[in-house]
Amino acid sequence: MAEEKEVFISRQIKEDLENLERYVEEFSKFLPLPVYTINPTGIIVDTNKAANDLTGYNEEVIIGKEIEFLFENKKLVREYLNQALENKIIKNREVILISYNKKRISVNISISIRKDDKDNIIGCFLAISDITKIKGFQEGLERKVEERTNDLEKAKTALTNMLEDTQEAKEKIEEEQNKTRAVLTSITDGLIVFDKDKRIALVNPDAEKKLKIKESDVLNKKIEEILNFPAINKLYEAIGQKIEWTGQKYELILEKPIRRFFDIFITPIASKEDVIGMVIIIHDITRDKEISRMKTEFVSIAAHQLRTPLSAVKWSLHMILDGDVGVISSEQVDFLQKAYQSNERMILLINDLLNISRIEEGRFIYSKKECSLEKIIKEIIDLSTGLSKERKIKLIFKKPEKQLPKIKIDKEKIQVVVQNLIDNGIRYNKIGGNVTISLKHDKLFIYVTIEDTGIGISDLQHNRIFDKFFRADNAVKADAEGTGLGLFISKNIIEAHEGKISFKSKKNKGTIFTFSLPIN
Amino acid sequence: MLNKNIIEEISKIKGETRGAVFHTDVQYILDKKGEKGLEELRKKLKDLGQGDIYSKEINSTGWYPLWWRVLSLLIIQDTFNWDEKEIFNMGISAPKHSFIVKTLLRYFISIEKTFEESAKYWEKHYTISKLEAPEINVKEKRLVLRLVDFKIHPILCVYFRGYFKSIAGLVVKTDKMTIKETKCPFSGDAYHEFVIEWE
Repeated sequence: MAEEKEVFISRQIKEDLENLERYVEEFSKFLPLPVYTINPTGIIVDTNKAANDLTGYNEEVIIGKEIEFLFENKKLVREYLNQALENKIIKNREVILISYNKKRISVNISISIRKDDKDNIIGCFLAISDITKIKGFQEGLERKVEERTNDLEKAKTALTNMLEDTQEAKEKIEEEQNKTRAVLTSITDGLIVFDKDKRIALVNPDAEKKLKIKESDVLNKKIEEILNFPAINKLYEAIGQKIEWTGQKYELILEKPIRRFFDIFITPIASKEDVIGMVIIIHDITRDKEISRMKTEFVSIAAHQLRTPLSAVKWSLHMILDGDVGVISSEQVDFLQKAYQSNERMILLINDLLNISRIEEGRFIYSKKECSLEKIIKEIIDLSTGLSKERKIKLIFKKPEKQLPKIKIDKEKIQVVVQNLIDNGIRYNKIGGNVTISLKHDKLFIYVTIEDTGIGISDLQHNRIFDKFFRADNAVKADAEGTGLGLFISKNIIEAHEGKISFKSKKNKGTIFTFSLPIN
Repeated sequence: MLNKNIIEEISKIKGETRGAVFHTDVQYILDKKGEKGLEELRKKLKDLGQGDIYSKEINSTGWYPLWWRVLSLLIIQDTFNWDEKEIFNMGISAPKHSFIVKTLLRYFISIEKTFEESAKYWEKHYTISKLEAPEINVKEKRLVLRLVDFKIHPILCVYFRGYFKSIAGLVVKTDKMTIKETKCPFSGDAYHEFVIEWE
């Protein structure tokens, strides 16, 4: 009976063992984690399928090898093993596994010790986790982070450089601004600089002084906001209550503390093609005005003083030439006539100078009366007949088809204009040439045209023809007696009548002067 | 050349062995010759009128006739015309695949512990004879194993040389280990004596 029981138990143990074997085999095959069983001396005594698959070493080869055989850093793995055998926890330590086909595989190893029922260490399990993918991902990530870090470093460097450049540029700009400000503040003309919003950005000391303002009081303000300053108010009026570039010159007169005159210019400040502001330039012309006045006064006095003795000389010569003081020889007549003509030219010059003085003093036009322009022209033509004959020039007067309206003019001054233009037409003509005077009118103006067939005016000198004392090169050659004041005086007379004077000319072909006078 | 006479002769061998030994043979043949090699063996067994000792029905922990162990080695040697070296290597390989060995791993702590338990180890595998370790000298790096009352077949002498060396290799860290059978009943000695030395 006892024997049967023993056989039964033995069979049960055998079956249990068989079941255990199957279980271990199946489990070993299923277990995805590579595991090596190691004895205390570090020799591999068992392995599983996952371990064989990972390393490429089968049981035949790997069992009996020391565990470090599998790894690149053998010393480190042995150290981990020793630590584990000393009951230390070894978990997820990263090492490089060298596979059968010499492939380097990044793995984490964990070591767990085995003990028997008496708590003796009988070895350990070494589990391996393949972290190639994680490592690859991590390395990729690290690479990306590194690349990104490099990019950021580069960006940082670039930004630092840009910052330095910007700082440098800023310093340069500040330096330039300081230079500009220094230049602007040292300029003897007053300057008010406006930004593109027409707010005051700068007032230089000269402007502060002239306008009795302080830059700090008006900075960033529009001119309309500071009209409480009397000088600013007058300036604002002078420039037509707007800050615009018209190319025009404005005049400002400030009465206090003394009467002063200023030329005002408004100029845009341009950067490339953009207007970034405006500047008002205040140029003091008080001294120029005074000098001009004194000069004119001097010329006026001198001319008056000269005219009296010249008139006395004229009449004395006239009497001698007329024989009132006795018979003179023909040779004496000849000398005296030359003296008389020179005296006449001197009187004409003095008259011109006096006219200029009057023009510049603004008192040239005294009295306007209703006159017939046609009659005035006819009289001047009659007076010029002698000269025209002398120069063999034909004077042609084309009278208007319709009767001209009478106009209010200073007859004496208009006579001067007509005389000047006909004289020029004769003097600067060619022998046998013509001077044609014609008249026409519309509802607003009477137009007088004096056309000659003379030497003409060079294109290069057209713009100077009305300047004081200017004489064209070919005019000087043709007639040495001119003063260069006739056209200047004529222009001033016509403009004083609110008319206009202009010309067309071609060298060696002739000149056409036209002036207009308003009917009302 | 293995024949029925030889089989009849070896079938007289008494005693039993664990099925694990056939499993380790199968594993080795599969490694070296693949399924085809295994089929050749099965065919030969059949031709000789023998059952399939490589069947999956054979359990590692089951007890089977000891003469089958001899039959397996002889038929492998005969079929593949293997020399002693290959049989030796089969012995080397066997412990690495044996479930029985795995169950005994707790003894594989040191060479002393491993072979102090040699008798117990033998009993786990065979029902006859006994294995002794009369000399375990770690200092001298020498181990003597003695297999008593085991005059079975000379092919097992070769196989055990590989087997014992492999077991010793699981606990001794060395690149150079030798094993010699210094005594053998087939040479007139009373027992088998294996001397293992290492450096």
